[in-house]
Amino acid sequence: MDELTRRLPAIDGVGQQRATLAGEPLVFHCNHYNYWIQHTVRLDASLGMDPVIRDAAESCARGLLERGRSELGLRGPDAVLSLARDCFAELGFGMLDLSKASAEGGVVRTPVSHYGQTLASACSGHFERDQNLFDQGFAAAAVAVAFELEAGAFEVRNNRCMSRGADAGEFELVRRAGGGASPWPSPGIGVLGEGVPAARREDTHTDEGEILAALSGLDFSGNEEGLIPRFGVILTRHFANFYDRISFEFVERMRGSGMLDEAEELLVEAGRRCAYNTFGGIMLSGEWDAVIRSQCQTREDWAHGMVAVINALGWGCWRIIEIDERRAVIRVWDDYESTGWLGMYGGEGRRADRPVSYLAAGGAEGLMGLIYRGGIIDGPALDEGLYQRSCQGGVGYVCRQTRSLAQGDPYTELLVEAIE
Amino acid sequence: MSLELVPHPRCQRGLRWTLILPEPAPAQAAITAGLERWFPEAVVGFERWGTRRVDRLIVQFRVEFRVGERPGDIGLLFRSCCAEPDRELIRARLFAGLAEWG
Repeated sequence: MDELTRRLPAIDGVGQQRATLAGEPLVFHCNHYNYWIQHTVRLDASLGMDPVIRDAAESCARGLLERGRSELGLRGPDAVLSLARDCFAELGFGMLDLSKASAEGGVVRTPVSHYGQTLASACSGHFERDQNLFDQGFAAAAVAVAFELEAGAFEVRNNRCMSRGADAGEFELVRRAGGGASPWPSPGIGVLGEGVPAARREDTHTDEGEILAALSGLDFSGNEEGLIPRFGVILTRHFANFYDRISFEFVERMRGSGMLDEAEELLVEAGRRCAYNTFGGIMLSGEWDAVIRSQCQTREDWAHGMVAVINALGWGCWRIIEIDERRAVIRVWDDYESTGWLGMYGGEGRRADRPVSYLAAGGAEGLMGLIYRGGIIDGPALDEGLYQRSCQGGVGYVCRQTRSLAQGDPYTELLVEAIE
Repeated sequence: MSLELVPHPRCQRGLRWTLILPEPAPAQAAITAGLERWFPEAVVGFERWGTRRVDRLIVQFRVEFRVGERPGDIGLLFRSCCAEPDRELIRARLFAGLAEWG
């Protein structure tokens, strides 16, 4: 199979339940979250987020490929282009054809694309804008690193995207007049916390160690066409800093418009959608039935079981401190939003003026909604109606971030309360 | 043999299907061996889900069969670049093979 021939840097475990590939932190997210987060930050075209998305992809890919080239001792453009193709497929982004690339740019094709093809199943209706901004940024980084050019060396023209009916993704990289510019370098793993995670609770029938061991036997690499179909969704093993950068830049630009609270709520909504689809898909999967369901005797066990799975996603170390139908307290060590914020903006001891763990907050609300309002234990269909009855903002649960690693606390704490 | 091919509840626009075999279904090893005969070009492997073994047979760029996810089921995961006429041919080969079992 194609993936057997991929040559990749090693994935390293760092911090609390975090992972990096050549120094770039990775997190699992599915096509639903990838649709919702991108949809959210692009809601207002006047914010100018498309270049931010493309640049975030380029900066993360550049960090990965530069360090990966060094780690593997690669020499010459062809070896770097091959590394880029292999990483793109392994991480679930699809197939990247860079065969026509040169130092002057050239036409890049993506005959298979997570962003081009799989976001459609997460939304209703048709796209009015191309969805493959990530692919463009990744390809620009690949060619620039291969030919030892500066960041921002290329601009993209003549884009065709499968999300809008093209047979294959295709775009042209053209050298940017006046040279490149790199407004934002990826900070790598960022700043990890120093806190020590709480011990696992003993009043649950689930065994997190056993669950994590079982999950380690599953294949989460991109298949031969570079996609990761799993748990009823299409996964990516994505760049944590990509999500962080586009989220925080969106918040910053909305802050300037006087709609900061609304911006944060939209990002939490993306997190709820993520939880509903990914956590829901996991809890309805054959994998769940085989590994975890037999350990679950109570609804609280389902929550603990799901949190054990979350701890394999690269999001940090989650622990449920309290839980019942009315409320839950969840603490997260090294949550990727906080470590990313500190890495990007936390120089000279600077801390965030507000909590920044939007995905974690929405995820915690969604988890509670699925278990206590959505009846996930009974195996419902995960349709839009159930989402609106169980998880939607203002319906199920509301989360307050009562502590924040990004604000100087040793961990991030999520207080999730039922909406009466 | 009465067979039911149903779209997965979250089939991702036609990529994922489940073939439900009638009771009593053949043993997992027999199903996997049958698929190997009917699709000799498939790359064969397996995963461990805890104590459960799931057999995976991959016809590259066309389809993946999974046997053992749930008893009596064959999971079909079409690849996104496998066009509908090809999918139809794969379904026909699968049903022709299963017909051998009566």
